[in-house]
Amino acid sequence: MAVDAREFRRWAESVGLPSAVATLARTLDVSRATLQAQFVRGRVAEQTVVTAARAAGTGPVAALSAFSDFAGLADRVTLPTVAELLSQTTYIDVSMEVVARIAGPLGEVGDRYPEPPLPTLDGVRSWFNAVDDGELRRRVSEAAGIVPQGLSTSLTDNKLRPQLAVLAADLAGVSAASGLVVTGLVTPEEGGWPAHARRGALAGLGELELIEHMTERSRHAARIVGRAVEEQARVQKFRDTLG
Amino acid sequence: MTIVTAVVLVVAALLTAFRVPASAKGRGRPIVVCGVLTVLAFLLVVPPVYAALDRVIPGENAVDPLTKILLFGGMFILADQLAKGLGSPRLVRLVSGLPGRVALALAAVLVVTFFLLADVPVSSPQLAVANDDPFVALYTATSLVYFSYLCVLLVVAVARSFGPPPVGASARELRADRLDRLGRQLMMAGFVLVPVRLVLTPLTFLRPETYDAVQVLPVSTLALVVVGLWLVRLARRTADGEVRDVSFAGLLARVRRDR
Repeated sequence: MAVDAREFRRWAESVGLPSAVATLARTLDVSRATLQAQFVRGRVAEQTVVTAARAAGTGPVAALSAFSDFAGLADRVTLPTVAELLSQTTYIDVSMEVVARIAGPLGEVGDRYPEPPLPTLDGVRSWFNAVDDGELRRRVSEAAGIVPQGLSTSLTDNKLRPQLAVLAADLAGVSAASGLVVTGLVTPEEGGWPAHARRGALAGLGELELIEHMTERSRHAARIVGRAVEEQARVQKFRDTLG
Repeated sequence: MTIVTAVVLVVAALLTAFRVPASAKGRGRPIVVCGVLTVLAFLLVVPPVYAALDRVIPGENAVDPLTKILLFGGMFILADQLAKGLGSPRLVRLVSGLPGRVALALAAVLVVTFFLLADVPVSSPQLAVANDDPFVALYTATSLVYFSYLCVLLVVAVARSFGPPPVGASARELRADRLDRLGRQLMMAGFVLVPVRLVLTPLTFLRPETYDAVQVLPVSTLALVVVGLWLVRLARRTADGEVRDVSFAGLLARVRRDR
């Protein structure tokens, strides 16, 4: 799934990007073969649109709105909700907040742990769950005409196709670009998230909420690290036995 | 066919030999034993070798059940090591626990019994000359049933072992993962051919002229498993010396590199 190649050519022309594939590939610093293949297939990947928008100096979200598949996207961008922001924090972010509350501003130490880049570990599913009213999986898969199992698998892989991400955000009634932010297609700033919004959301929590959030995120991190350790031990054992 | 067999055997022997230094230090000793037994078993059925030995060893064709027993041993060790490597207690039980050992013993006793009942008068590797004798067919089938039993278990276990690529792995770990994955795929392909060979046994019984063509299968299995095992070894060597960082921050920093 991607945007129509003819639309892409029209849009590229309108923002002053070169139309020849070779020149365009050089301008975007992407592989020529990849770009050529996308044109031949008639579908250009959203990632290419985002890269092209950045090269042209326009906002990626506004650029995507120019395509029929994402029509009106930029108009539906609002501020992210606190739940969304919190879903993209880790136990490390929460710990930093706790220390900051006790010890005062962290200064240099705080800079050493900036807000994690997106997508964060299991962040796509965390976001989906944060905006889910309990019926979102069913509603998204029905509206997109896919099987719910496919959506769940995708979330487990920490992935969500841009169109599904926008659809999920729209159905959940949150900012339309949020799904694109958490999947890492656009940066938080490009997606209309204020700078340091996640830190701000943590700072705004009362102590009880902070502790509860920390518990939740710690459990989440423990699951991820536990699985990684287990997986590594499994692989190691296999190789040690047979290698 | 003989050239292909020779190449496969030389490769198998070499790759086994390469494992000897590490096994002297205690690593992967069973796999070396497995390699020696298997290469020996395949070597003994090469016609000139077989003929020469058959003259020395008392009892016409007594070399053949010997090769079967050697191969049982090799396959048993391989299956046991794979089961242990995959960390599946149920598989270990079925391969080398009580049920597994009973299956091995039963197969060995039946193979020897059918061999004695078959009474093939001329020296012939794998008793191929008397392929249409019912006892020879049973003799061949018994060993194939045991191998198929192990191979079906292994195919299922190996197929289940494929997970998603490791989260936040370094480039080197990803390379090792690819080698390891390919190795398991090759081994699986090799194991699948064993039950196929079993299913084709009635064919060789009814149409003896197909016998030679079907012999391609065991050699293919050997080749695939040998190369597969070697890839797993390469994977271990590729991943070795890599600092294993499974800290949350480490995983977090690397998550972007996956895509």
